[in-house]
Amino acid sequence: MAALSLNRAAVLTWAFLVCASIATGLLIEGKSLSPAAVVSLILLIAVLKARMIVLHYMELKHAPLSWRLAFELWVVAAASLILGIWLFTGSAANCIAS
Amino acid sequence: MEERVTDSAAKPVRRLPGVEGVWVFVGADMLFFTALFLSTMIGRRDAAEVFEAGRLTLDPNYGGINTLILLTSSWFVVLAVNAAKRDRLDEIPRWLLAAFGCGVAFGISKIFEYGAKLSAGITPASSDFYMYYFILTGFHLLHVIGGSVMLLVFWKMSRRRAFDSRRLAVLESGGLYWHMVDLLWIILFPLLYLMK
Repeated sequence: MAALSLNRAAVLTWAFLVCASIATGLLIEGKSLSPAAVVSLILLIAVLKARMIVLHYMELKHAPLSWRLAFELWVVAAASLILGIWLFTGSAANCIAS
Repeated sequence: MEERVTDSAAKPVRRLPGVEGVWVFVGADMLFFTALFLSTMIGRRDAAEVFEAGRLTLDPNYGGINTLILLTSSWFVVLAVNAAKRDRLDEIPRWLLAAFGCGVAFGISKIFEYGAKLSAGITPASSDFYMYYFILTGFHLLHVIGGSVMLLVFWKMSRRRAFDSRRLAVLESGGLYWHMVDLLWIILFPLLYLMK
């Protein structure tokens, strides 16, 4: 039974990742949100997906905490740096529109 | 390295899958890509309009399909590791071959994507955006190619029954590398294809 639940957890993780990817696709098709909201949400979804990979595919959920924290921190830091620079330097779409 | 388990005694012992050195290698590789992500964002700051014009010529469908291919491939590797954990040795080569097939599919879709760009006369020298685009996706593709070769070797090893519940370290370490390739794409895809 324990073995079955391992594969069950794997399929649930995969299903979450696929659904999150589809959500990203819907977000970029939508026209109602501002570019800043779209970019923030896209990166938030990327963080959630990356965290799922780190915790469940790489199996860091049950690894020593220092390893788990280091990789979770990387996910948040990489996305925050990208979003931070994007917000700080302004949207390229706005540059073209103006 | 003993880990204290402070809460429930029923919790399993904390364990790092694979070999510690591979984790260090993977971490270093991720930091290398972080530097590429940062330089892309800085390049973008200096040429926002060039970047946006370049981004609009990319087909997000390629990137989206690539994402699904890699997510599925990682899942197959997890299933291969799970099969090894419970000594279902006949299953391991099947999952590894499926994961390898996904790696090949990723490569083929990249050939089409690069081919479309190159036949339109777009090269890394065309603009700053395309330089970053080819460097980031190119380095990533090299990781996919390396990982696919590894999966093929693992497939052959698993047919010789080299992996089981007591011999997991190599399979887990390789799987870890393959998940990193997936993880990097999860960040790389929005960075190049989706961010306005």
